[in-house]
Amino acid sequence: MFAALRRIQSADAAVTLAIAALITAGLVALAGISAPVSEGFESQIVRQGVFVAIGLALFLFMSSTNYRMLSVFAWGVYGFAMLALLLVLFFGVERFGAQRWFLFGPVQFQPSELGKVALIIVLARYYTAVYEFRHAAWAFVGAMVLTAVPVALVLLEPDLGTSLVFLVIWYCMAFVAGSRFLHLGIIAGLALALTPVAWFVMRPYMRERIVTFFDPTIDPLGAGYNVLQAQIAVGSGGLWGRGIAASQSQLEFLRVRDTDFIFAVIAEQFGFIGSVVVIALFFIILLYSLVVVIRAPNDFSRFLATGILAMIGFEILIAIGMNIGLAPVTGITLPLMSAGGSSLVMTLVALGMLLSVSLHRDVALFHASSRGDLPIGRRAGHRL
Amino acid sequence: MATTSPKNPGSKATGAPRFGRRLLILGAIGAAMAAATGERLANWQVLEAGDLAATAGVQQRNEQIIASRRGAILSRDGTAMALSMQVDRLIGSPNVITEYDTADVARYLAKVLDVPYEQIMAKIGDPSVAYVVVAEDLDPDQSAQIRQSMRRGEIGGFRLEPVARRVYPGNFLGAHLIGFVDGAGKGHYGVESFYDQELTGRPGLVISDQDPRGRTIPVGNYDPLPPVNGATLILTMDRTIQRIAEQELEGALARFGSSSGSILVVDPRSGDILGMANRPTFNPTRLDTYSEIGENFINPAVSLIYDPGSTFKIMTMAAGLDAGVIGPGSRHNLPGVYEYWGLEFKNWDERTYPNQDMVSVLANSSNTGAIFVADQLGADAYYDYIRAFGFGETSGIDLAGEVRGILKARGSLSWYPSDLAANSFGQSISTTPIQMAMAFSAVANGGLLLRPRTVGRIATAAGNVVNPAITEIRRVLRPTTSRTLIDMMYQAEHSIPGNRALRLRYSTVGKTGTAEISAAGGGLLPEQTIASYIGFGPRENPQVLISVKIDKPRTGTWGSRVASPIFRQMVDRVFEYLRVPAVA
Repeated sequence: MFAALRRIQSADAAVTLAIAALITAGLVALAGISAPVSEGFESQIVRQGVFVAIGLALFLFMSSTNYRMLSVFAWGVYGFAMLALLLVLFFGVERFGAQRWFLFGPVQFQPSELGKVALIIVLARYYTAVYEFRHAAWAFVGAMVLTAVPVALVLLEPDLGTSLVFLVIWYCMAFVAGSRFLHLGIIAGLALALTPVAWFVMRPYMRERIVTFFDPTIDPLGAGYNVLQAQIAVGSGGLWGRGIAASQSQLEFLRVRDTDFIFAVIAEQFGFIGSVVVIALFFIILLYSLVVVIRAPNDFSRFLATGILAMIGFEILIAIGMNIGLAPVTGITLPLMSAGGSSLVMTLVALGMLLSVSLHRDVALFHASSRGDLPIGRRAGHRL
Repeated sequence: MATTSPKNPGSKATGAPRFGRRLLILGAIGAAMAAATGERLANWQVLEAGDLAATAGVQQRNEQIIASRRGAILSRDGTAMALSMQVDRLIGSPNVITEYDTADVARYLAKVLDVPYEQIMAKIGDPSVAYVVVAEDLDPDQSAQIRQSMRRGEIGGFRLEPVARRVYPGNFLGAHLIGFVDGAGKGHYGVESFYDQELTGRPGLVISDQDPRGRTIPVGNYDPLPPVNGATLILTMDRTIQRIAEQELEGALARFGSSSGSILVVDPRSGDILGMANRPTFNPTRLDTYSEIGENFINPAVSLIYDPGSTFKIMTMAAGLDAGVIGPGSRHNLPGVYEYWGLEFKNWDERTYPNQDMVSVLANSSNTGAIFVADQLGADAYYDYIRAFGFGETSGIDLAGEVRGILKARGSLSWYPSDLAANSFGQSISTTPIQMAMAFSAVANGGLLLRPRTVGRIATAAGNVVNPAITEIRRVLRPTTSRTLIDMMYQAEHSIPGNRALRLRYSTVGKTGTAEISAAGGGLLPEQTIASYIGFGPRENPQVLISVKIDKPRTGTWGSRVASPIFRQMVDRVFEYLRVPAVA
């Protein structure tokens, strides 16, 4: 485990610092809007702190563990995650009209967060395995099926935003894994063609969100309320911000400010300068992910990193975009900053995997391919 | 866990460039979105930051106005004429009465409020209503009883809402002078309007942060501004004198078949209005009975104009005496008919009184005699005096809605030389009763035009008492002129056989007036007059001035028959009340 420390390069250190900075900023933002620490575990900031500790521990564990192990457990993790997604539909707790959470005592767990990482791992392994047949329609459809399972389960909760993340992960991985433009094009065309159909399938609240995305003033006290209030919060932050006790956020004009609208809170508290710094920190992470993808030593790690990049990148894009009116409100959390244990922990797990790819570029899982029964080790030989 | 699928070992050589191209596309999309994000942030946080911050400020600021208590209005003798008190009204929310039996609640309220059960039921019977006023103006006992029931949980879905009520214990008494307060707490007419600011005080203000539901946040760091209650006004009006004036006016109107008139009682030494009675009038506590803000509310003593008629001869005589163009002994033939600048002017009886002195001009109320005096003076000097007496300008009384009257200025297009003649005996000039009273006061008090006032003392809520000083507007006459004129008036009044204005007990002087009424379309209304008498006493040291004006009396058109006896009645009662020494 400590051997990994010796391989840390400046880029790895930089991204770790960026992650730490974002988590800290998120905690500070939450501190401004949530109950005081003195209220113990009831306090959001204390809970979030506990999750940060768990997440960082897992981050360290994942980054110091050779990512090649993930290939071994891919199907197991995937199966476990799908089972959890299935069970949550029956045994989960219902909040805000959606059944997305397991409740373990005071701690909630959202299986769809695990599902995203599980899908990345299984698709990385799948695309590695079928690489030779990547142009074949069956290979393309196979990945589609693997993705469709969690998408369907998550849609049943319902959670439109998260199911979109699954689709984006798959599409980006398929794209990088070399699927044919024809196949990718068919999917894109199908998505476009189905948009009008989707309008009719959508639940009313989803439609409202789409409508208010285009013009929040249509219903300023109803569906457009959050969007307008977010704009007011972001705008009143100004250049330098209004400090931790920024009133728009503190006075609860912003609803779901700890998750969906955390970026607006940050923008009000820290202003344009702070927002840009936050975005720059995210950019460092995404850039690092891209470098990891480019420098990936093998297909599995390349696909793995691509999936993580797609997931985090899309989430960042939407979570920030919906705070500033560039994306419809979808309930996607801002990685590393939004309150919510599952999201934070799983994001850190994913980033740990990313770091692992960087740190274990040249470290085979086993030095000799003596264990011929290990599939990847045998296939990849010395490069693994 | 046994998937096996050989991987293309040459991926690095062949795959990398393709990955590179594909990654480039992904990166480009990402960069474009990042640019859009930055652009939007710059827009909102730098360019529109001011507006958005202002919007935030508006929605986060809660301003709660704490009403100040309106000051009371007391009469000179300390009796409350206008009071503000808090009464409760009962508000029901039938939509939350559900856990109680509505019929039971209605029966209970019917008993406490002493209204029919059906009436209560009609208001609270509909369970979808969220707000209904069940009863207004609860008396304190009812409030207490209902409050207790609510505390015990016997009734629910109600609350008592304090409402500020303006109460006028005197009802009609002095209504025009006092005015009234509307539902929003703003004063209208009279003292309520003129001193609205003093009476209102300054409302308090509590500014705090609020959340979207309007709940205030204790962390809001704004200082509360406590309310300053309104000042208490002590009127110059004496309640007894006011009552006497109103009674006498009522009686006179009934006796002479008139519907409108005014009686003013003024202290000529200070300009204090001791009484101001007007008809028609209104009851400020029952404003709901008046369908609209109409003529009833207008104070005729300060807001309606009339041609004063013969009472104005006193002003003409004063001017002539003061300027020295005539003396009490100046003699003149008083022609029955006299042509002046192309117009014919007549004495009231069209009789000619040859070789008469000036006392006779007053005693006979000779129009041609008045013309003689004005003519002796000349228009320039005459109008200087008339202006000095305060005509053509407001008296400055502290009541809302005072008008100036109409004094045609010499040199203006509407003035004809013949107007000098008409003005000399009080026609073709419009005045208000208060202007006439103050002009006569100047004669009575030795020649000073004073500003009339209705409020003699202002006691602020903080306990400071302001005593407004008597305001001298200007000296109009020399004291000797005043003395001479009073003597002349005394002689004139006493030379009139059977003068109904005089009382042996008190020595008063005065002048009748019988004014013709200008028609709206020009000319004069036939057979209709305004009968008036303005007088003061005691002669040696005038303390009280009384002006009586009866509009369009149907029985008896002359001031001497209509207004004089009312003046005498007033003198009797008011002088006695004020303990003015009687003539030995």
